[in-house]
Parts: sequence; structure tokens; C-alpha cells
Amino acid sequence: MIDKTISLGRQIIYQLLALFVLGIVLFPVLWVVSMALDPRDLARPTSLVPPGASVKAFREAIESPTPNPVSFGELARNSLAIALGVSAFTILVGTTAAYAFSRFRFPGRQAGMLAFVIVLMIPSTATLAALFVMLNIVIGPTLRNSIVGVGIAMVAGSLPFAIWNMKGFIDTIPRELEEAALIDGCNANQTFWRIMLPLAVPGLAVTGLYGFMSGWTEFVLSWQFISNPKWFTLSMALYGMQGQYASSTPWSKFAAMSIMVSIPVVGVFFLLQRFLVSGLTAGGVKG
Amino acid sequence: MAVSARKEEQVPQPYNPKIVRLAYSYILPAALIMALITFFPLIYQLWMSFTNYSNINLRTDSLLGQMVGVWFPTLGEKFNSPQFVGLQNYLSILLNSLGKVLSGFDFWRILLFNLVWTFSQVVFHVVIGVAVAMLLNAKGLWFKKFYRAVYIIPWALPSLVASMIWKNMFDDQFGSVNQLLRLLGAKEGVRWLQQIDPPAPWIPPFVRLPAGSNPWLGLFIFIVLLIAPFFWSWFRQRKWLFIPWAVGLQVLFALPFWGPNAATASLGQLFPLSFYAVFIANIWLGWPFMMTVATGALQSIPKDLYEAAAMDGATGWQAFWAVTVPLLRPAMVPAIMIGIMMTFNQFNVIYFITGGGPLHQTEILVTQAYRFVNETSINLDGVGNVRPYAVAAAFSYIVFGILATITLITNRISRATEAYSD
Repeated sequence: MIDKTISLGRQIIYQLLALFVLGIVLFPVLWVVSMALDPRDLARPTSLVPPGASVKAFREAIESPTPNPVSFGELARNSLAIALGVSAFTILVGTTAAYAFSRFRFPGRQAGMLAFVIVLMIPSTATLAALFVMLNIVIGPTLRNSIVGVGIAMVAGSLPFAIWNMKGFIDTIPRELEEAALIDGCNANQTFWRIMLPLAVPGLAVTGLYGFMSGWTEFVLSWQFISNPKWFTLSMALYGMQGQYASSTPWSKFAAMSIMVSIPVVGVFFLLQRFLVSGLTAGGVKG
Repeated sequence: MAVSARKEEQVPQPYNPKIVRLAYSYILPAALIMALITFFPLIYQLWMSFTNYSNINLRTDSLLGQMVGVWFPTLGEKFNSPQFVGLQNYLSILLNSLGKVLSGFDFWRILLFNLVWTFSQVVFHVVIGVAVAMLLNAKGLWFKKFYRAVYIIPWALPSLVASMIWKNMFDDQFGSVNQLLRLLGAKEGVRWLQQIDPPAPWIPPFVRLPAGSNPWLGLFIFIVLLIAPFFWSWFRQRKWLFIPWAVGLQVLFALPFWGPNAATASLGQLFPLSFYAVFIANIWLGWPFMMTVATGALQSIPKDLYEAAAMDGATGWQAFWAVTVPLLRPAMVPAIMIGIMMTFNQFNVIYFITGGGPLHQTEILVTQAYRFVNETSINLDGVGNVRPYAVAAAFSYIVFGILATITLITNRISRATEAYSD
């Protein structure tokens, strides 16, 4: 049934089915695009390219996305700082630990791995109360009420994931090269920096991208931690736009904003799709 | 997220002290940071859950002083310590007495809803994902690559944005879903996210157990009906696609036996209209992941197996059960485990589409946990109206216990699968 090329009749049926799925997948996307292009701020788009289509909503969303005096650029800067800061920091700190867990035998290894698995299960809402209270006391309410506080709280959750994920990747790299380097007279540190690190770059990149994608749209922590408009993030602004009632939501602006927030993530996703999928299954499950 | 310490080498060898020292120095930075901001908060949270910590305890000069101060009154006064309350927070959640001060709160209902939500969702994700993957695997299908690329859009889109778009689409006046229904002849807009009455009364409503009967009885019946057949069918039949069906049926059968307390009864039933709204939205979001995994697995099935099946006179349907399903299984089981964990904690969809409403009918455990920290205030005895961080901490530990149980079960299943596939 699979080996033969399908007949024309089947081809047509299959095409109809595939188009049906396509319609369902694309409908919400087209709905948002149409809403964003419509200058009349209607909540119900009429056609894909509405009469008098313009990019007015995009301009509005860039200039003043919220009632507060913050621009899209500032929101994006905050989100970007969280996303880049957290992913860079976790990779910097986590890579050596991942390498040690993958290659070395030492007392406490099993216990450490178990600790990782336990921490990985915990959703970020679960330690929120403790983190909020702790950061309030330790670094003070002002710093907590900024992207620094959110960043620290995010590292708490993403560092274990990053180590686990990178360990999964390093496990798949054959040991022969390192052994050869050791025989050639490299010491362990040189082996790590000169041999291991260049080979592990794809794994580090994927781990970093996960960190970036979750940081870019982080909501749970920032909504709890941040009340100062200066530090608002993209996801907070989007949520703020969704008024209680449909009539009070600036629809076009909301649609334009959600498109602008999504584009980086979707772009990265499509570029690195293959690695992301294998990274998730290799790191997360096989361990 | 399977634990796999079991594959380590079994023969104990003496550690090389040089390697051990090196390993520790490599781990040190990460270990220090995790000890401070990952593990210490867990311990701190445990401590919190045994006190009546609230926002009035936030001001203190010393974190540790405040912790110790719970047991030493002089220190406690100095560092503004909360009072030690033992297991009270846990009991008030598990025995639902919290429902008296926090209207609409019913732990067991949320847990049941969360389980029904997770398993019914994953069934749809897997069935649709595998079906579409097979459709796109047909030899000679036109535009195959195009379809594969476009179909993953729902997965690529940030779930936060996707959920907000779906909320807009379910709007009762302006949403696209209602406009579509209007095109089909519906007169009035369906109030997807606001309607409190269940839309399908024929789905078995709760049957109340006699007043005063043990609240654990309902859970016991639920476990017997839901989980036992799940395992039974798993180990005996091995046709794993039956399991989702079995679970779905069991849920339907189990529902009438679930005995809610009075608070639950006033909340209507398990499937309010908004349940269907989040259900549809999350199916849209969830299936492309399963499709991607299934596509990879389908492509690695050797073609001659199908030829052999055809030679033996198998029909397409028989070949599906005899060849496709067993060979998909090793790839799908880990994906299903990931899917279960992700759906169980699907914060974004619930929080941004229904907000857990109306009347907390679509709340799941993580959204409830968030609500405790973020917006709930409770009138605590002797403290007044405060944000109950202590209750939130206890609730999180309960959620954590449930997640650990689920991980343990799924781990065991994937281990059984590994043994089977070897």
C-alpha cells in the first residue's frame, strides 16, 4: 500500500483531505493577518486583504503598544535581554557540568542525575511563591521588580534543563577523539576546550535556542515579578491588550503585535526544525 | 523525561581520584548556582508550607533568621516570622476545607479535570498526528513538502500568542467561530467562554455519593475504573492504540461515580462550554508535534515489510496493525510521555483562553497554583485578608507529588516498551 504510487482517484481524495487540514491550520493565522491589516480596528475581519488595508496598526503597535509610555522597542529590549541573558548564562555555566556528567565517573553522579530529573518535572509556577518571597528578601523589592529578578528566577528553572539537554547531546559524541587527544598529550582541560567544545556546538546552539524561545515569550514570572512599566516584556504587553470585553480591545494593534512577537520564534523554528525535534527527544527522553 | 540511570555500567570500579577532582571542579559553578536558586527555594518552600506565611511576612532583615524564628519566639519577633501550623495547609487543600474561605476551590475536581483534560487531549493529538503523517507519507502525493512545512505552524507559533488568538476567535460577538456558525444558520452567538450551563446535558452529570460518605471512595472508584484497565490493556493486548480508546471510555464510565461535595455540585459539571473551546484550541496546537515524530518513524519503516505483508495477503488495515503500529511504537511512546507532561501543565492555553473560568470550571493544577501566588487573597485565622503564600507552597508540593507519580508511571511504561522493542 505504501510501495505503489497512489492512483489518480486516491490522489484527489488525499489532496482534498490535505487541503482541509491546511485550511484548519492556516485559518487562525490568516484571521490575525487580516485583522492586523484592517485600519478600522474591527474585531471581525471581512476578507484577507480588507478594504483600505494599511500598516497603520503595525506603526501603532511599534510606537505605543500599551497605555504606558513604553515603545515596542523597549518591550522587545526587555524580552531580548531576558531571553539572551538566560540562555547565554545557562550555557556558560552548564556546559562543563554536562560534560562532567556525561564523561566522568565520580561519587554522587547518580544522585545528581536523579536530582536533575526531579527538578525537571517541576513546572515554573510550582516554586514561584518561594522564589518571589526569597528574591524580595535577598535582592530587595526594587531589583526583584525588574528583569534581573525575572532572569534569576528563569535560570533556576532552565539551568537543570540545559544541563540535562547538553548531557544528552554530549552522550552521542564518540569518545575516540578525546581518547586520541589524551594519548597525544593533551590534558583533560585542553581536551575539553579544544576537542569537546567545538564538537558540541550544535548541541549548545539547540539548547541556547530553547532558552531563547522560552525567554522571549516568558509570562508567568514576569507577570508576577514586574509592576514597573519600564521593565514590561512583550508577553505582558500582549496580555494587557486583551481587555476584559471584546469592545475594549484594540484588535488591529493586538493582531499586529502578536505577529511581530511571533515572527522571530517562528523563523528560528523553521530554520532549525530538524535539530529542535531531535534535540527534544534525544536530550529529554533518552538521557 | 525518563530516568535512565539503569543503563550505567554495573561493575563497581574504584574511582580515580584525579578524575573525581576534575569532575567536581567542572560541576562546581553550576552546582553552586543550582544550590542557591533551584534547590534552596525547594527547601524554603517546604518550610513555608508548614507555616502561615503571607505577604505581611515579606519584610524581614534576614531570610535564615526568619526561618529559624518560627521555633524561637524572640528571634521570631525580631525577624517577623510566621507561625508554625503543621500540616494544616495540606489538609485544608486535600479535604477541601479551603473551599469555605475561597469560593469555588475544589482540589479533587481540579485534579479530575486535569487528568481528563490531559488524557483526552493526548488521544486526539496522537490519532490526528499519526493519521496526517500517514496521509503525507503516501507515495507520489503532490505538494508533500509544502504541506509538511505549513502543518507545523501551530507548533512553531509561541503558545502564548496562539492562545490569545484563539481567545479572540471564541469571542461571542466578534469571534470567527461564531461567525462561521452564523454562516451555517445559527441565530444567536454561542457564549463560548461565559456560559455556565453545560451544553451537552446528556454527558453523564455527577452523581452525588450519599452525604457523609468517605470522600476517598470517589477517588478509589475512579482509580479502579480508569487506571486499572489502562494497565491491563497495556500488558495484555499490546495494541497500544486501544489504550487511548480504553481511557476515553473509562473516563465516561467513571464520571457518574465521582462523588463531589456540595461545592462541586454548584459548580456544574466537568464539561462546561469553555471546556470545548480550550479543547479545540489545544488540539490545534498539539497535533503537529505528534505528526513530526510519527513522520520520522514512518519513514524509517523498511518497505519490504509491507511487501511481505501484502504477499501474505494482508489488507491495508491489517498491514497497519501488524506493521505500522508496532514499528511506530518505539518512537511514539517517548513522544506521548512528553505530550502528557506538556498537556498536564498546559498553562498558556487554559490561562489565556478561559482564564480557568467560568466559575473556575476549567481550572487545572498549574493555573490554580499561579492564582494562589498571583491574585488570590484568603482570610486566614488571626491574620486577616492576605495573599496566602504558605497555601501556595503547600499546593505546589501536592502538585509536585502528583507529577512525580505520573512520571513514575510513564517511566515504567516506557521501560516496558524499551524491553518490548529490543
